[in-house]
Amino acid sequence: MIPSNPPIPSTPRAGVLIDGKAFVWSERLDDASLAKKRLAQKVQTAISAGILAAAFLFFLWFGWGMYLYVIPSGMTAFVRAVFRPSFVGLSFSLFVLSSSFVFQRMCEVTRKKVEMPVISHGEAVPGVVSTIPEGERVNVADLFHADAMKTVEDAYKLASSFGHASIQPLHLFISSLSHGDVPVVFGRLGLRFDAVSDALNRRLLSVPTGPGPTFSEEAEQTLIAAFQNAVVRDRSSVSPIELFYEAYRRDPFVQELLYDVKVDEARLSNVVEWIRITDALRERYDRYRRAAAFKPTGPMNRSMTAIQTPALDSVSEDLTTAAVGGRLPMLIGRDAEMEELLRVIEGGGRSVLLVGPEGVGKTALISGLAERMVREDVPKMLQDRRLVSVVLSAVISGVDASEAQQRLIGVLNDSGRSGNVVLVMQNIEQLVETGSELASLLVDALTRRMAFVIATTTPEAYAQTVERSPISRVFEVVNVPEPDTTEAIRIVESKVGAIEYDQNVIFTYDAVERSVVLSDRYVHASYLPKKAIGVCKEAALVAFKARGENAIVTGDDVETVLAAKTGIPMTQVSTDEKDKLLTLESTIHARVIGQEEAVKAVASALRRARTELRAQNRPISTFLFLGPSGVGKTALAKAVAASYFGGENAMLRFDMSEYQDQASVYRLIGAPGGDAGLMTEAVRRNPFSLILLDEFEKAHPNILNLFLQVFDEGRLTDSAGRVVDFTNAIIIVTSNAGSAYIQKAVSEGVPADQMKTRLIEEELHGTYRPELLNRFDGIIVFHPLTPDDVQQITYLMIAQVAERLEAKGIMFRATDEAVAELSTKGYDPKFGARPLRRIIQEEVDNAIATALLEGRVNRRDTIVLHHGGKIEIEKGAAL
Amino acid sequence: MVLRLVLTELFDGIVSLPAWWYTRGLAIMTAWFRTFVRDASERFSLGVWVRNLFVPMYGDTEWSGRAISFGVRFAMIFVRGSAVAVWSSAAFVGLAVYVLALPMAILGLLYHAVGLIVF
Repeated sequence: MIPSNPPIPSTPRAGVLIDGKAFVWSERLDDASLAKKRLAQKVQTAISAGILAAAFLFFLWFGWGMYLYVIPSGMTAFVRAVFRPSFVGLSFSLFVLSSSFVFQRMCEVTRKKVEMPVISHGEAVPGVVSTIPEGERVNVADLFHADAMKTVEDAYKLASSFGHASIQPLHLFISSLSHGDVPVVFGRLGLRFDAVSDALNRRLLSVPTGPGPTFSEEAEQTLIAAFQNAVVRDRSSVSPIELFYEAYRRDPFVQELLYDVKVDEARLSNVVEWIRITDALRERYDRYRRAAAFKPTGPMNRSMTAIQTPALDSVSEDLTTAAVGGRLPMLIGRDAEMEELLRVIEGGGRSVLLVGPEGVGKTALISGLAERMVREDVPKMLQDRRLVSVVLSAVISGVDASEAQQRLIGVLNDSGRSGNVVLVMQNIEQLVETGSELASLLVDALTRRMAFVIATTTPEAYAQTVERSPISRVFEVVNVPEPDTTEAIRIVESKVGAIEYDQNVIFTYDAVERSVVLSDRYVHASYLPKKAIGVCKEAALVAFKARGENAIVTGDDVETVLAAKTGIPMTQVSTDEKDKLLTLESTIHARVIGQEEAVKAVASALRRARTELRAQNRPISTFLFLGPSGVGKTALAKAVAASYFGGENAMLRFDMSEYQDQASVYRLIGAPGGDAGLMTEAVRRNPFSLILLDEFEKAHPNILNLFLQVFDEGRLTDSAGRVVDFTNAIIIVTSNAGSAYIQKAVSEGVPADQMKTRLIEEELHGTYRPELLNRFDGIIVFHPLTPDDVQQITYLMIAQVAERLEAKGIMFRATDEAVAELSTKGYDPKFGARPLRRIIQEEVDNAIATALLEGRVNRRDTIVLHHGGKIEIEKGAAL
Repeated sequence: MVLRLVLTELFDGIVSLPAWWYTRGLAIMTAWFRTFVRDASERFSLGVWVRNLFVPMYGDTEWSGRAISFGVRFAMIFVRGSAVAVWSSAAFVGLAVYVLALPMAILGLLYHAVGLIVF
């Protein structure tokens, strides 16, 4: 073998200490050593090819000799060929000898000079140190994959071509972009190299030049950190992806550059993990298939101690058989839960109850256990057994109680006599709900160790049903909580491959991340990761239908799906919408006259919400509108609903004067075991809405307390135990409390700030508790309307009348004198503009209705309202 | 330079082959042999049958069932043991061929080459 280049004699500046050995970078890297290495590789390849060809020729020679001289003459000729000097014997010897060379070279090529160190589970991760103690040193270059070595060499060449004095993480980052799986990382991030190439080139031009290049300390640390990264993740060698990631982490410029294209460290880390998960899944699958070959798939175990289980088979599915057939999904994550599950099983042999919300992965955990049972990587009491899932609905449905009991007895007997069965009972609350006898039967069987059961239930069902039944005594509870977003992203990443295969599309990381983050934020009826996986499936379908095969599924596709599901706009703010948001005040003012402060506060809240600058764990905004009747409090709420939430229908209005007694709280949040609450159900169905609570001061004090949590946490639990999300709602509370003071203060010209302070500190003191008032984002005082305001409102109402008539093809207008007259009549200092609607009905609508009934008005005519309520009809042109 | 490299490589290979053959090469082949035999044993479940020699088959715990089980298991251990033995023998033959291949090839080369040249 050609000896490798002698190591660099200089002192390493970074290393990792594992098991008393220092892993350092000591590979020589210069033009001469690279040329020598390249030449050596070519020579080795040429020699290997030559020997292989020679072996083949010797074999042909031997075969030819056998064919010509030995086979026709039989055994005697064979003995002669072997024991007497012959060309057949010579060619055979040469063939064996050359084959020995080939074998040796093949073994040496695939042999690792150094084994990757292994960190045992629970052992502390060794850090990169800069001071290397004396002792045994290992060159980590020997643990670099060929692609990774090529990356390092390319980094050298890159630095050399620019005349740089040192190799820096930047060079390693750039060179890694074209090696191994790194291009896939860019693809998953939806990035093109062009997006960063100019900036990288500019950066390269700014690196100091000089003789060299040699490794900078940061670059050496990058190489060692890449090795450490590979060790921690149990990789068999260091690949370009570790170099890419560590180079990114060590170069602030690269971090900033990627941040500009919306890639931060968390996103990059998750994409790198995605690539690794795919690799790990493949490796695991290969190992698993080999192990599965030894697992029996029928009811009989390997030791043949089991018996046939007809009663059990008729109502169950064999999960180990399904796992051997590759029909169960592979478990990703959930290490802690699996460990706890196995610990409980190993500890006391008690049956296990997995308690977790629907969709968090209880079934996946059971599939993971089935997979481990196939590999026999389980505690002794689960070895050589099969995992059988009993379909409880098949046990209890369609028959009376005694028949169901017979079926369950059959299942338990089969399991007990067979001795090689571990039962799975999903949603065990079904058994309890059906009748106490079934539960007692199961308790009896488990107490007598006739069966071993792994059951599942939800936290709600556990609290309401299971915990109160005797079943809870015989099970050890293992909680399976909802995974956090990072773990959920990784689980979804592991599932995306199958979706991509099914729909023939390609997912970007953005799509995966948004499916998790947005569904976590906006979909509250189900849990991660199931809801995110569901969204990904739909987004894949949307992308496929829109763009055909090999469509790239982006975050926008996910947002489209989620927006359609929830009705919440979550796509990026478009140019049209940007204009709409910036001019929100004028849009609202088209419907609400005056009240500048209120309109501005509401518009600002909506802009904050849409640009995601608001707190995500509270309602979009909560406002208390104070002021006398008829000054536009409700009108503003309606205007906001119409201009931002898509229509007045998106407003959920509750007249709190209907909730004056204590019992009425149940009408809002639902009665235990009774009907759903009016408010909680409405918000659950329309989370993106405006909630208007009219005349709030009239509600019972207990109801006011209920809203403390809503305003603060953005959620409320209804009578069924469901958490209703208010974080996508604007809550507007109107109140007439303090109206008398407001009117008096306005007439006396008290400044707004002073008026508000007095209201909060004194006038509202007896009506609302301070903690409630403090929870409002804004307390807005509506000023009494001036005659000018009322006149403007009159114009608006006349415009509404005109709009109604336009549908009939009739035009309508009012003279300024008529409007002034109406506004004077319709204004009442006590009730604001409220009488105006009645006046318009009486004086305008009635007159128009009479004219219509008398047949004086036809299509295309124009009705003109004059002073004194007189109606004039201008005839339209004949057709 | 290239010629020197080629000659060095070839020379080193030729010189180091016998030593490599009986050190690292033999270790590789021994590991292969072990895996082969272990897989055979696993495939025929020999260990499981031996461990359960006195455990009744099909859950039949009556004395007659136990007796029949013992008989059947004994016979099965013999059959499966034989299969593992045949399997392992084949692997052993492979290992033996490896051990003998290199000296036999060198001796054969010398014998036939010298014989052909001289006679």
